[in-house]
Amino acid sequence: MLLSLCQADLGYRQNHAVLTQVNLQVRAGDFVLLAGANGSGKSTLIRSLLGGLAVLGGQREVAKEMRLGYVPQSVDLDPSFPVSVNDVVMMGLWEPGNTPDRDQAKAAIAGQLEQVEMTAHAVRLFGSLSGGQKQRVLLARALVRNPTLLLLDEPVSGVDARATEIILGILEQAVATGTAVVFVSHQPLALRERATRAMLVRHGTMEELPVQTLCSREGLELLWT
Amino acid sequence: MDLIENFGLYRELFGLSFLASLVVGIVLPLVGALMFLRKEAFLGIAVPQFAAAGLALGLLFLPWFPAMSAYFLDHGHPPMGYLLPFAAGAAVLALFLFSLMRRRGGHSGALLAASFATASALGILFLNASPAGANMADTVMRGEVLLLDVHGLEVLAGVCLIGLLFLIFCRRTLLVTAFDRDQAVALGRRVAIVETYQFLLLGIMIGAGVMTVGPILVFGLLFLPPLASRATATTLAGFLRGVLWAGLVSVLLAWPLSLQLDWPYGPAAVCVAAVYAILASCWGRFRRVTIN
Repeated sequence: MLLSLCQADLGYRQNHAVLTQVNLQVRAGDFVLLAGANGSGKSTLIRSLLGGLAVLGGQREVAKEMRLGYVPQSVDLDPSFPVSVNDVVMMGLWEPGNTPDRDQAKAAIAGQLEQVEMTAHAVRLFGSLSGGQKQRVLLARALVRNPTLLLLDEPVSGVDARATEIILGILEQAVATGTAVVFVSHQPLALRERATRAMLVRHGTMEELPVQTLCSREGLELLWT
Repeated sequence: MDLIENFGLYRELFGLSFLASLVVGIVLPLVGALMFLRKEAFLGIAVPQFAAAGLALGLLFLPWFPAMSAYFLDHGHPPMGYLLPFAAGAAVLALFLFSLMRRRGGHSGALLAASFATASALGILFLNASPAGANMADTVMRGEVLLLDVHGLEVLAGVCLIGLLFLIFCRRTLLVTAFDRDQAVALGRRVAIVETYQFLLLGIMIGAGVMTVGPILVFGLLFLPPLASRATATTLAGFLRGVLWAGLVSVLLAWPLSLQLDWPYGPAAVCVAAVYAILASCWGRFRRVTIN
């Protein structure tokens, strides 16, 4: 078990939980689709999974060997921040107590950029990239620390078909090597063939459904109501 | 020519002030770069104004402390150790209030403007009621770094050194948090603790800066160098190097202007920084046009 939420109440203030009685167990090799409409509490759930919000009730357990790779929505990042593509991926190596050898770090960054097909853009300003390119760079940043769990927040929202295929292909490879993936989305259809588990966030809690159910007409109706 | 001929005299008269200008020229632009990257540049306008109001409050209370008043009569200013808690405390309080406002959302721009106006008004009222404050405050507000004594330099350098060490040791947490706070959390960095220390140190540094070199120089050095560097930088390291360079150029070139043209030092340094920022902006635009 890499990460577990057991009967967890999640929110920003005591007695004002946004989500209650949340249960989630993520194991190595899981590809979890986490779907919810806008305003359903997905962001609160993501912050709790990251460890940025303490659980208000229940339990959150994290395996010692867990390394978390996080991919946010690129639109949430400041496009005027003076940072190159290389710099962004380098930030993935900035975990406390880790001072990577310069050559090793360069090689790791170059390798990840090659994997997401962004090598040609390595010295460009991050803010000058398209939405799809930014998401690929952020995926490279998450992968550069060899995560055991990848948490992605709407990584293909507003991204073109080619970039979407690149991102999903890389995620499939990661799952095949034992990395767990938690993919947050309000458009679950793209993951119908890839996800192994599906969770639906709605009405202040979260429930597990079969992937095919969530991606069916009935599931989509549940998602949007 | 006069400057070169009388170099020895100038060194004797203004050596301490020169060192103070180097200290603020290095540290304040780096502090400003961090606020700029966190999109908190607006704080740079209001926080020094709060620090100035705190300084005025310290001068107002001066008659209540006979030992401090005696020191004031001998030296022309109260001990820096007496003023620092007032100026730094007001700056820290302002940062704390603004962070609360930001969390709650709403009309933070209007609240900030209102706070600026209130802090300015309080500063003037405190000075008006203070028997000792008017002359000294006038000197500080004008940015007359030339009158700084060794005691003032010690306070400024000590506070700035602590702040600089904090910025260096916590640079990764500070930079990754400024770019993507959730990523810093995912990496396991102690974001909340570092941000708390950052607020405290920024407040103390801005407070020390305001009471020794004045709010004009503090305003200018906090934000003109980051603006100048942002116009040309393509990497994070390049941006920070550019900030440092712009700050140093501004404080060094201001000296001949101040001495030769008899300009107050603070406004002279800010004008140099503004010209530097404009030139850097033109150069950055030219480069983008030629590359594209």
